[in-house]
Amino acid sequence: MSYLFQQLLNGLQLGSVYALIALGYTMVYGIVRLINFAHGDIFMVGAYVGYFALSVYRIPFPLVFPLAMVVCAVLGMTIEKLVYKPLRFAPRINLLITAIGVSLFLEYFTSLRFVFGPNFLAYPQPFKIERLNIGGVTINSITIMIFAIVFLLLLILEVIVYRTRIGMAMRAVSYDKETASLMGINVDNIISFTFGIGSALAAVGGILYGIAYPQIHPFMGIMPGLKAFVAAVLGGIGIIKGAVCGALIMGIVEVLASAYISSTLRDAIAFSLLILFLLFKPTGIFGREESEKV
Amino acid sequence: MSLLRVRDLHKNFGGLKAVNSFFLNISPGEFVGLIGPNGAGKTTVFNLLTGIYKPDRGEIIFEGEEITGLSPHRITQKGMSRTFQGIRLFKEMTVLDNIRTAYHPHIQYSLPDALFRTKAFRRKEEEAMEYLISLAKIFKLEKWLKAEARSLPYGEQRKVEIVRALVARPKLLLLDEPSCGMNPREVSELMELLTYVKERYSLTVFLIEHRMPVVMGISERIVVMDFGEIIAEGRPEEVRENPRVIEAYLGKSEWQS
Amino acid sequence: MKQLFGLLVIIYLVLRSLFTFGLINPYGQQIVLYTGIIMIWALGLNLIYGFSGQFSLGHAAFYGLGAYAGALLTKLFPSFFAIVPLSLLVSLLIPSLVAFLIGIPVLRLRSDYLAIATLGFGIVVKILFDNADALTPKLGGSRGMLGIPKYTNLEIVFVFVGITLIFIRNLIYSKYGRALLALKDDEITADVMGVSTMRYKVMAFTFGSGLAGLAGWLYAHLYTFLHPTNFEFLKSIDCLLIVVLGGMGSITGTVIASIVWVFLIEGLRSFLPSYLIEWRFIIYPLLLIMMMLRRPQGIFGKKEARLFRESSWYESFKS
Repeated sequence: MSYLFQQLLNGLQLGSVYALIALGYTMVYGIVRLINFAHGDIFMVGAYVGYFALSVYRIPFPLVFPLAMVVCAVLGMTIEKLVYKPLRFAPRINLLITAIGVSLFLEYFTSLRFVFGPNFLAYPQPFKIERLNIGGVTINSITIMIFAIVFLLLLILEVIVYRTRIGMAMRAVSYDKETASLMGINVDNIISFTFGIGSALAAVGGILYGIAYPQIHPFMGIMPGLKAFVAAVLGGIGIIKGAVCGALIMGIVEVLASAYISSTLRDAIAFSLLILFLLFKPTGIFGREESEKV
Repeated sequence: MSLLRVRDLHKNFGGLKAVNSFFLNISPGEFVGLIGPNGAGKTTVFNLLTGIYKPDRGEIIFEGEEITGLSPHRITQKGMSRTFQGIRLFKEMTVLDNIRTAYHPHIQYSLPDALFRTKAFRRKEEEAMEYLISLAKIFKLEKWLKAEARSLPYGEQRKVEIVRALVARPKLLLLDEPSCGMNPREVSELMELLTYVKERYSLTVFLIEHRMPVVMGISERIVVMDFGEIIAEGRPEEVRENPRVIEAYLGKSEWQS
Repeated sequence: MKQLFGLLVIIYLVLRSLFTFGLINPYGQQIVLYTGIIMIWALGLNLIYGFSGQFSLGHAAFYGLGAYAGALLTKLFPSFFAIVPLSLLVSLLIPSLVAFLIGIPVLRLRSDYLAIATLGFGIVVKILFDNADALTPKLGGSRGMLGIPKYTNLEIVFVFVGITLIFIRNLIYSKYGRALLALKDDEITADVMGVSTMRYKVMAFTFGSGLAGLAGWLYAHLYTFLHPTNFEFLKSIDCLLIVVLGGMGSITGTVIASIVWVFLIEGLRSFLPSYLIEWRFIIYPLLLIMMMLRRPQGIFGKKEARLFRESSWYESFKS
């Protein structure tokens, strides 16, 4: 029984990290209807920034987070301005293909030797790990840190989106871009801002992932990115609380599948569940039907 | 024997009751008009009849057979076809292909016939071509046949929409504001055309229209909707005088002082 | 169509002589055959996506299913004389069947969700390939499958490229092709016009995936070695790139783009100095992005070479 709780805890931990990535996907989709395939790679860049900050430049641990957030936010916003913005009115498929191109580019470029290199790198441990044992379940300080940070960020995001003017602008643009611009909202800036926030969250996710599962490499973003995306769809794409819910579920399913069924088939099970879910409720847990007006 | 019988049709969108308790009976050979202010639910009724929306409640019976909930292509194959309020031609195709696509259910050959280019394939395609070209000639569209549908002038596109609906040899033709965007000359041409078509192809027509001269002049019977419900029904002269109808269009007389 | 047939015969004769007289080295010959295989694979996706507008990101999975299924049979029964046509049939039918079964539920989804569902499907299949040795060790699993007999040659590839081109062309210029183009253009209207959209979407998906399976067989029996990474999601992107590059809905475009793509990948491998070899994986996505920004309709857009277009009996109706 305590084994089950342990796995649930592990699943929640994994899911929390996925949530940080999933939020970026869902916010960007909500606002520009784009599946930003490159998002998982921004997560990867965040992890690497953390790596270099900690091991090479010896930057104090608390500062590493804001540093990575800024770097990734800038990266995300730059990509948007350079590549996605010119295609804003193009067919969705073109945007998708472009996003895939950006993703591949980031992966292969960073695996060049003079950039990050293609090898697996071991993540530095920035603090001593304490372990706590409650009724047969082990919690370590990494888990607590992850829960704390993710919870804090979610709170901040909630405040931004629902209690600030810029958040209101974000919501307006996601409902109806044209009308929002007629109301005086600078749609371009809001879109950039959304990419920025999403990327910053992914950056934190990258660092946390690196600390918790301490191996990083340039292609590390592919699977978590896909899973986080699946999670966002599961919860209802475009809906913030959907992304969080979906991510937590995804994390738990993945860990439980690995623990109780098979670790090699873990991903297959996770994605199969996704496909099944999509067939019955494609709009996700919290999603609403979007019908075409005829 | 009625051609189309609609009983107690309901359709909600979220909290909005788009169609509420809609009843209708159309006999073969009739020319029925459907009018009402914007947002009354007229196009929604068409969408329900043609299977694009599924009703929340109610029945639709066509030629004695229940068609409620069937998918659009099955309903079309049973003999009901329609035009759309905004033109929905296949933009990437030529006019000819637009029309040919609508003739799809009547072109009878199998997949192997197509793949191996059998005699059956050639014969059916040629027959289809002859029929379609002769139809295009009747509607004076033959010079547009090889042009891309979206390059046509608006009035001609509307004609193509109508021809496309006719090609499937329907028994009941639903026209959604066919005169939308036309100038007066085109409108009177359209009225002649519709009368001719109805006679020649023994059609029954159900027409949504905003232009009163058109619908009053051409319909035998008119149904009036407002806020999703039928508020009046009868001959054009009756409906024109009906106070509820006038109120729906012009508002209550209190405001007119 | 006679012109197309004639052209194919001429190209075959030219290639046959080049091969027989050693004017193209074995490596070059393999590249030529590979080009034909890619062409069949890409034409399959063009049918699903270019002509019918169904965004499938799992095309490599069907390629793999055909490859593994066919290769297993030929490996198991190497001396059975009829194994070649039999395993070809299997390579065609198994992916088609899977596509049919998956297609019926999945093709109801809207384009974004369809993309995700097919993506997920592709990932699941790839993982199954990784674990295939649990089913039978001959399938190799994550270490790869070896020892596949080399049955693919110029004749086989040519015959299948020819059949594929002719069948696809005949399909497109028939009522079936028009139905597909209509549902790609405006699905609701197509339905209202009497076209059973679900039936034709599934049909295109089944056919296109079957072609992928066929290409897979040819691939397996050319390179004699299969590895699950050959069939992962990134490979589906490769195929998508070819279809988009050539122009969606253009047979000519897909044909040319396939040739260009193979020569680009191989050419870059040969021409780039060794320290720049890795850069070809960077040039590739940059090309993709550039294409989308500058010429999204692809090289050919919707244009079709006269060779492929509707035959002359239609022209005679020009009034």
